[in-house]
Formats: sequence, structure tokens, C-alpha cells
Amino acid sequence: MSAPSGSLSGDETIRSLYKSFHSCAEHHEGDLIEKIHISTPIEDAIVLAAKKGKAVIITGNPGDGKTHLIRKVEGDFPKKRTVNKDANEAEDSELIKSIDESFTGKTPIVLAINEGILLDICEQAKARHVWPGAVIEAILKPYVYGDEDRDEHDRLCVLDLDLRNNLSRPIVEQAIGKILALVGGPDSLLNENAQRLKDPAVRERITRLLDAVARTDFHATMRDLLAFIAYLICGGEEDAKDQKPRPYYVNAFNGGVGPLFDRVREFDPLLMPDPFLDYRLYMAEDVKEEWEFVPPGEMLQKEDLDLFRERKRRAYFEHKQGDKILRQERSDVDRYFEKLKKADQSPENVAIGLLNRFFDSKDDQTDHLVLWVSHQFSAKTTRYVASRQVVSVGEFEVKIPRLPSHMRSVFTDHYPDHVILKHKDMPISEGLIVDRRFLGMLIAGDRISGLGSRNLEAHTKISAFYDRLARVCKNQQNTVQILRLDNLSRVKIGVSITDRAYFIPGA
Amino acid sequence: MKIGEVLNGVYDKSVGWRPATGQLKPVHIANGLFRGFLGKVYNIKTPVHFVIPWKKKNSPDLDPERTYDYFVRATADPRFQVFRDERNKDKFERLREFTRELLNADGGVFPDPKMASFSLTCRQMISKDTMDRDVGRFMSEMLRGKDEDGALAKLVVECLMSEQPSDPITFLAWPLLSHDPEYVKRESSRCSPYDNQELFGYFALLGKTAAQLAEHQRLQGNRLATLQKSVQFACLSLLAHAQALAVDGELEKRSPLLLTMAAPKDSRLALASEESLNRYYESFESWLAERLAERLEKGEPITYDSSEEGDGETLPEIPPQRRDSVRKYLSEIADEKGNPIMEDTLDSRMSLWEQAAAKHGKQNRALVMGETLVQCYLSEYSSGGPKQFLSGVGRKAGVIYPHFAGRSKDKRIRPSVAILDVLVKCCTPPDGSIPFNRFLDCLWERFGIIVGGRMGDTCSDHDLLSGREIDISQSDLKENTKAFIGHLVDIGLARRYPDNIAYVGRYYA
Repeated sequence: MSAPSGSLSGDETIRSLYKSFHSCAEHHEGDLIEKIHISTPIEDAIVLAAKKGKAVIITGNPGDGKTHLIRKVEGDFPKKRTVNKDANEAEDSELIKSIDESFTGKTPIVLAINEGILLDICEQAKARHVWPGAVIEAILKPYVYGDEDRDEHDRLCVLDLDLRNNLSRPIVEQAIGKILALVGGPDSLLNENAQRLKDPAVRERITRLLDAVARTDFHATMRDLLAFIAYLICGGEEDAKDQKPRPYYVNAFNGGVGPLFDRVREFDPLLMPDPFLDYRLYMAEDVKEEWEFVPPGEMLQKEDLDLFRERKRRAYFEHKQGDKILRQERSDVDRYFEKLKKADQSPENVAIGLLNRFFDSKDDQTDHLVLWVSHQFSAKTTRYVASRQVVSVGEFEVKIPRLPSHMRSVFTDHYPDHVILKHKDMPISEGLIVDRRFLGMLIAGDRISGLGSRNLEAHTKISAFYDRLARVCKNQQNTVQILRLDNLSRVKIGVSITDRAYFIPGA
Repeated sequence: MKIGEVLNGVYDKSVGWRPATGQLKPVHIANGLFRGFLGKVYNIKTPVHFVIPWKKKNSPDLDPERTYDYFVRATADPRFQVFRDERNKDKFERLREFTRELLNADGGVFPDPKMASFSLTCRQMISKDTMDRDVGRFMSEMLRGKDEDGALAKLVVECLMSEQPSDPITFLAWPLLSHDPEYVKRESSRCSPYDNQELFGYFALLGKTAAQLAEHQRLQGNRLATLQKSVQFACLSLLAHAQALAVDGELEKRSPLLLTMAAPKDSRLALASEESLNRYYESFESWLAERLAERLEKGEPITYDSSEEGDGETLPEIPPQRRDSVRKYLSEIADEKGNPIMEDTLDSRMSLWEQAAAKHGKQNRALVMGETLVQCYLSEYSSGGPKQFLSGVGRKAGVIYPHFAGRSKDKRIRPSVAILDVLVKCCTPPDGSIPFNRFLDCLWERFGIIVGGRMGDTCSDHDLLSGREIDISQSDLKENTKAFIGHLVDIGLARRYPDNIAYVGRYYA
């Protein structure tokens, strides 16, 4: 297949956008760059940093659009500035030299480079130069917490496109608009899907769907987004180019290949029951007034499961109650993650409740954390844990990460992928990082009696956190609790250290 | 001389510990290691009697001196007077049960206090149990360093010397513990790590690795975690020591251990890993045979009695390589119980001699006899030789899979999460991360472990394996490396980037 260019028709260009490698900027011609360019505050940030004479490093994952961005804005750069649109291919030593020269103010540079390669170069150069430390910090520690902030560097501007939320409303709306503008004339086979996507209600639902995906910590590249929108309109079947594509609401959940498609499929309406709507659709009892957008010629057939599936997906975008489907919380992980991010809803209690229940699913205490300890030298499964330390919820805080203020205006709509539970006297670096994966393990432990603690990954992570907590929490009780993990039975006994004798608490 | 004793001289004078039982557990190493650090043991009769009420292991008969009536009524022990009311008898028994499960979490406590190793949380639990076969003493010398400045050893001693029970398990056991130590010798007539000059460089490297682990452990506040990590490190070092000995300290010649992740049983990768373990055992056994041959040639003692002193027992001069004289020579070594050997056993020994002679040539009398005796030992000694010993320690510590119990005959290198955590801490700074490739170099350099991801001209894992006639493709090794990174990422010990780049170490917010 040829690269998208002026020689391709609009429809062919849309089809080619689905093929991911064709979306690389290196293969795009100037006019297409203009046509599919999606404007974000990053362009201004690049130009501004370049004008200030900073070394500008644009980094991110392949497909994030680094090269594309430079091409788009390089006309606005001051003269005598070195531009390297693909530093991935450069010799390490040359690259180190050119960044260093830029950093020291000799020859300013703007370059695009993949994140991993950039880190590798910084690792090589960090012993001899100052800038690699700042670059590593910008990439690996992008967040600030609480009231803290971080000033922008006066010699360096690192823009990590991994932080750009390409599924944010403004970007998605622009992407839909740009791709719809490519659709051929009234005879285009893509017209029917294009018409539906032009409907404001449908576009609203698409943006909300992709926003929901973005909130699951998924980072979509610009290439992923363009391919997804293109596929909604045209499908991807090579052998069906001369036929009308399937409806976009089928394409949204069926057939697309790529990480974004996989993530969107987790939101397939078929996985989200809505008994009243489902019944009406299945029994074809719905009427046209219920729909935002009534396409001509839809067949209505009672109790036809295949048809129901298609109509349920359509309802997601076009039924007046379709937004209720999206509003349903997809899983406990989403629910808990949302709770943990809400500072006004006691996220500390939520986190502590989950940690306590990881060890003992019957434990509904959320006002203090029981620091369970296990001890053995062999790789046997832990069967018993003990504790003589509980820490009040008031001693904890949940910290929600934010980008530093100078980055917030560049990467608008960024959703952090974690929160941090920490003791108030602990540095942030010692806290427990709670992301969705870890949350999933905690919740699994919550559900199955005693099995939670057998998830070794989670247990190791929690134990390491408790070990760090032990440095700051010194208050200990004069009783010991012992918990048997497989049947959750407990023993509690008091110990008098001075008398070297046992006592029964409360007796 | 019994067949089980023919390698004792080599073990004691060239190895430093006796790999002569398949029953060794990490908890035994812990007991020996901490005893070696402090040079102290404690009387653990009371805690053993409290947690183990039976007379013998696996026997339902209760020891009358370990019953509720004995502790609470007959001796009126003030520690247990709260349970005097008969209605509290159940509470007493439940306390015993739960305490047993915590103090015996590793299954090292037997009714006889002399054979009990607790899952130690403090110095007052260190016993005289010698089940560790001197591994603990050897490792404690290694970790203390030649100049007694080993950072990990110092940290562990700090943890053991805590005067107040800061953790719940020590706190629970505190009333049961004796606080009066009995001093024991830290030195041994067996060789120390620093007697073997060829391994000086290797031990220096292990010392540096231990110091790195100590740096990590100082940043957390759980003494017990430090004790666990130090023992896991000792187990890893034990496996690596045998590997380094087998090549007389020329580390680049080591037989590599292929670590596999997500490789199902009988897959090409699993088979290659199993094969790498077999080569590892074989190279150690060959080295033992060479050392035995040297002792035979020089007329040095072959075995020493268990008191470790005295001149030791020698074998007669190696006979001429004629069947009748060799047969007579081999017949004079008793079976493992000390009985004269049966004819069919002697036939088997002769068959092993024939094989050794064919392998090395009859003119190499000492080497042929050394190998013959080692092979006889390996096939006749039911308590287990180096393979069972190292495999047992590796599995129970979580280095070799299946972990702990594992009835499977085939074993492969697949570390548990806890061991991976130790490996990462041993190779990374506490405040940052290192590139994945450097981590792979570190694993090989410090622990003789490879994953398959090193594909350079100067260091190729594939070449290392093919040099040992282990057949595995580059693409399988690549897959293995990918799975390994994935696992490290999943447990939060690494971060992955596109372009096959990953960093290993702890990531902070």
C-alpha cells in the first residue's frame, strides 16, 4: 500500500490511517500533515522554549507524533537552531554532544526522540554532564504532590508526549472533524458512517467513550486515535473496499486491531446489561422518538439476538438513554480508583479498608491499619501473620499526583495513573503506589477469604510498605494478634515484658 | 571408612561446608549464620517444649512434661498463671498452636531442642542445631569479611542485638526465651572463605554485593525483613560459591544457570534450564573428584571425624590399575552404614571404575580413583550428595522451581518474588535504577545466572550455553528475556519503554 499522499483519494487516505505504520510522520506529506494536524498547547510550548534558547527535547512513545509536531512548528523556530526530527537514529556520542552544546548555550537544538532511547543516552552521559539528571527527573518523576510545585528549567525543556491525553475531548473532537473532512463527495461509500459521526449527539458519546478509556490509565498515541476514528468510518477490510463499510458502532467494538481497540472493547455495551433498555431492544418495542438519530431502513425483528447485539451497540451512541450505559461503573477497580482520587471522600479510609481486607476479608475496620507481619526464610506459602501495631487512619494521607504548574497548561486533561498512600511523617517516595493493577489485586484479596495474602506480588509490595511504615510508627501495643490466613481464625494474647508472663486481654 | 565419608576431607579442607544432606532448609542456614555472627547460642528448651508437645516427630504421644497440666499446674510456672482457670485451657492450647506455627514456620523445630531451628526473629532463638552442615558458619565468615567490616553482617548483628522485642513474633515468644547466652567458637577447623586464594576476587565481589543489599535494608524499619533477606542472600551465595569453586575462581568459565520465566514444563526453555542445572552439578562433582584425587595422590586424610579435630583417616596408597587390586581397594570402603559391602555393590563400583578409567585413561590413577569414589558416593549415599543438597537449598529458598515441596523430578531456575527482590536489591542502588542490560551483566557476574538477553560480541548468553552443549535458540532466549522483564515490571521492580529498553530498580513516585 502506498503512503497517504496527494495521490490518494480522501477515502483511501482514511483507510490508510488505520494501517498504523502509515500514520508515522516520516511517511506523511506536507499537505496531509496540515489536513490531519490536531492542535494542542504543546506547539506553543515548543516554539516558546525554542525562542527562549532552551534545549528542547520532545520525547514519548513511537506513534505519539513527535516528528509530526516538529514539522508542524519548525517554521516558527528562531534561526540558527539545530532541528533533529528523528534523533532515534543518531549516534549516541553525537547526540550527547549536541544536547550538551545546546544546554551550555552554544547551538540551540530541538529534537524528537523515543523515551527509552533518551533514557539510555542520559544513563551513558550522566556521569559527565549535568543535563541528563534533569532529563531523567522530568521523565521518571513528572508529578508533584500536595502543595509542592516545580519550576521550569531555565536551560532545558523536556516535553514527554506520554503525558498528553490524546483521548481528551478537544483532541478527539478535532480528530473526528479532521478525518470527516477527508471523506470524498456524496458518492463516497463512507458517507453513511460519516453522516452519523457528524451528529453532535453521536460525537458527544464517542468523546465520552474515549474519555472513559483514558481514565483507565491507558495511554493512546496520536496514531492510535487517528486509526480508531478512521476505522469507525471505513472499517479495515482490504477486500471490502468497494462495499459500504459496516456501521461505525459495530466497527467501534469489532474487528479493529491495536491496543486502543482492545481497551475500547472492554466498554462494549454488550458487556453492560441494562435490563429495561435491553428488553425493549430485544423485543423491538422501542419507538423512533427514543433515538437521537434515526437512520433509514433499519429492520426491526423481535427476539433476534444478532440484531439485538447490533442495536445495543448502536444504542450506546444513538439512543436517548444510551449515555446511561456509559455511566454504569465498569468494575470495582474503577469504583475504588475514583474513590481514592476524591480528597473530600476520605480516601485514606478506603485504602486502609482494602489493605486490612487483603489479609482478612472479614475485617471491616477502616479507621486503623493493622500492620501484619509474616516471617519465614523458605519459599513456603505464608499461613500465619502477627501484629502488635495498629496505625490510626488520621496518621495517613492519600496524595494525588499533579503535573507541575508549567506543565499543566501544556498537558491539559492529563489523568494520573496512581495515587499514593503514605504516613504523614513519611516522604512521598516511601509511600505505597496504588495503581489500577495493584488495586485489582487488593480487591481480589477482599473477595476471597484468606487468598488475598497469597498473591505474592501484592503481598511483597504491601509488606515492603509496612516495613517502611515501621520506621515512622513506633507505638506498639502490649497485645499480639495472630491471624491464620486460610480460615481467618485469630488469637489475641497480652504479653507483659517486665513480668515475662502472658495475660488475657480484657480479662 | 564409610562410603558417605570419602568426600569429607575435600568438603572440610577445600569447600568449607558439607553438602551431604538433602534435608537442609534455609532456616538451618539462618540458625548457623546468626550463630556464626554472634558466637552465641541460647537454651531453647522452654520454647521448644511449649510449641512441640509431642515426644517424637510424627508421633501422637504427648510428652508429660509438655502438657497444660505440667506447665500450668504441676510447675505453677508464673508465665502461664493466667491460664490456671480450667476454662482457659483452650486458650492456652490455641496460643501454643499459633505460636508453633509462627516459630516453626519453616518446619525446622523438632521435639529435641538440640535438633531445633526456629524461624528466628532474635538472638535468643539461636540454637546449637548443627543441621546446617557448617554452611551458616562459612557464610557468616564470608559476610563478616576478612577484616570484619562486612556491612550486611553488621546490619544483621544490629537487628539481632535489639534489647526490646520490637516485632510481634519476638514479643509473643519473649516470656519463653532464655536471655543467658552460651558462647561458642566461631572458628572451625574446616576451611574459611579466605583460605582459598583463587576465590579472593569472587568473595570481594560477594562482599560488595552484600553491602549493596545492606544499603537497601537500612532504608526500611522491619528487622525481620533484614534477617530474611540476609538468609536468602546466603542461600544464593551458597549456590554461587559451588559454581565458582568448580572453576577455581575463573568466573568467566562458570557453567551458567539459565533463569526461565513463564516457561512451562517440558518447553524448550524449561528443558534448557534443567540442563543448565545438570551441567552445574556435574561441574561441581568433577571438581570434587579432582580435589579428592589430589588428596589421594598426596596421601592426605580423606575424612575427619565429626569433632573436626585430629589427624583424620587416610586411604591406602592408590593401587596399580589392575582389576584385582582395584577391586580389593574398593572393597575396603564400607557401605553407608559401616557394613562390609555386598558383592553386587562391589560390581557396581568396579563398573564405575571402568567408566572413569575409560574417561581419563588408566595412567591418571589418582583422577580415575577420585572420580570412581565420587561416583560411588553419589550412587550409594542415600542422605544425598551435592546435587540433592544444592537442589534442596535452591528449591526451599525459592531459587529453583518447583519451590519448596516440589515433587517434580525436573527442576529449573525460576526465582520466587522474594528472591527476585533480593537479586534486584543486590544489583541496583537503593535510590535509583540501572539499565536492564547492566542488570543482566550483574546477575551473571555476581550469581552466575543468565536469562538469555545478552547478545553482544563479548558476552553472549547463547554462546555460554552452547559452550556447555545446551541447545536453545536465540529467539527462545529473546522470549525468555521478554518474559523476565514483564515479570519484573509486574512486581514493580522494573519499568519498560519502547525500543526494547527497560530499567531495573525501585521506582518512586
